[in-house]
Amino acid sequence: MVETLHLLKHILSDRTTTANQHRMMVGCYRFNEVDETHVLYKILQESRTDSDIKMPLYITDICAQNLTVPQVNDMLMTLLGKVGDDPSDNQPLAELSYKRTGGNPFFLITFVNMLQKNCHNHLLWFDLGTFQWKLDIPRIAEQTAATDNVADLMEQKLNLLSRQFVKLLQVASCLDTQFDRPLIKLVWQRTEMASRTLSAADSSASFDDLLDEAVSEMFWEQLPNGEFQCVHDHVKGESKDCLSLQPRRWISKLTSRLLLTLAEAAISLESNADFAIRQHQVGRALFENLEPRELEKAMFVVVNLLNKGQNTNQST
Amino acid sequence: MNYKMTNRHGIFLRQKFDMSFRGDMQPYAIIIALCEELCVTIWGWKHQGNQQRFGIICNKILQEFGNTELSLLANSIPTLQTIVSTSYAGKEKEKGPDKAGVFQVYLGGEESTCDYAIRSKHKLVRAFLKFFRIMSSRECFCPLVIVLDDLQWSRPCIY
Repeated sequence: MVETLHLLKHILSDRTTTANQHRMMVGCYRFNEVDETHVLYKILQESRTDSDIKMPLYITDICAQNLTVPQVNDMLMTLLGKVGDDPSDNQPLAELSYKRTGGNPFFLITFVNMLQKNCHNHLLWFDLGTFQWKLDIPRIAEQTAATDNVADLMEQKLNLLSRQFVKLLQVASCLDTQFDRPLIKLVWQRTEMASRTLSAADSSASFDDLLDEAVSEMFWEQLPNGEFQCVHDHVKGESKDCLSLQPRRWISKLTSRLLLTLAEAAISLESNADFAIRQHQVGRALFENLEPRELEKAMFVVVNLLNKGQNTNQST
Repeated sequence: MNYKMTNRHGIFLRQKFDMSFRGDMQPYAIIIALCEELCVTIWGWKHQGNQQRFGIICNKILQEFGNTELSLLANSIPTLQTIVSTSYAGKEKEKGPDKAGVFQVYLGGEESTCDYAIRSKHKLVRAFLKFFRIMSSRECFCPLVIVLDDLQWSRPCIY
């Protein structure tokens, strides 16, 4: 991937034709994860110093910081349809949200969503009588815990989800970050039928529901071209962690909701091996069912998946 | 943004660096994905009544690239292979099958493996450069905007 960066730099600083006037690249990265030893840092430095004086490579840095309390307040007031009201009315919620989220905008959205989803707890709800959003600040303060990052919040969220649903997330996490509906459906049905005796019609109906759920719960988003994409990278990582619990749970025939404790997942040693086997399964399903042309596109992903399971088979 | 770009004959590409897959095995996975996306768009024109633009770009690609470079690229970009082979099929009817052997992989002479590896890497890099030069020219996509997410996950390749 470093090679990719080098090549991109070359492409951008390619001066042999006038065509280069029409290229632009936008790169996003987490500022706190790129230090002076990081490849990206070096390449950026190089591009800044190397560029020709006659035709410099224009680099603009835009640093997106966390939101401040007044900004959080603005955002919340817009979300809750209170634009034009006195900002101080909404101040307590803004301060509380800031405390819980540290002003990270993505985190903030997830947080507010969670408040609203827990409507039976009456944390935040839309009052049909007055046509306004109502909230219970003391209750929110009491029932929500400060989490360090979005991942922790998602953990709490995953805990509330059904077993089927978590499994779908896991299967999807074996695929790339983007996938289309037929693909995920194919893999899902194959793994379902392998693990239990489910008729295709049954799993098809529940599959559509699950997929809708995943989108509405904001784990995945649907792209304009109809493909799905993981909204958070940690959803991938996290559902991978949960996987180790699955076989044992199935054996014990737990039919109710699967309560996942991430701590259990962490201490479980065979988690990686299990995940590799699942990856191998998914890889095999893809390999056997894809059209040659589709397969060619996804070749590296599929081979990668097949290889993972291979290694575990040899080692055990 | 995407809409604005396509309206002005430009294109807006989006790719992201990934924590787990792709990167470890393929040093140029992202670049290849970008190229593939460009080629799919071009291929789409052929079927959307934009044959003229398709023809112009095909000719440009065939003109600018040598056979070696083209086969290198086409081997890693599936849709480019489709595009090029169809346009060759068209050409062959006029000229006769003089360029039929284009998709054979070209091997170097009696060089040592190491030299050969470095040389073919340079060849590939040059081919990619040329490809993007064509793609961002006035006839193709202008402007060409690439958005790359999660650059912090770029790390050295494990071969």
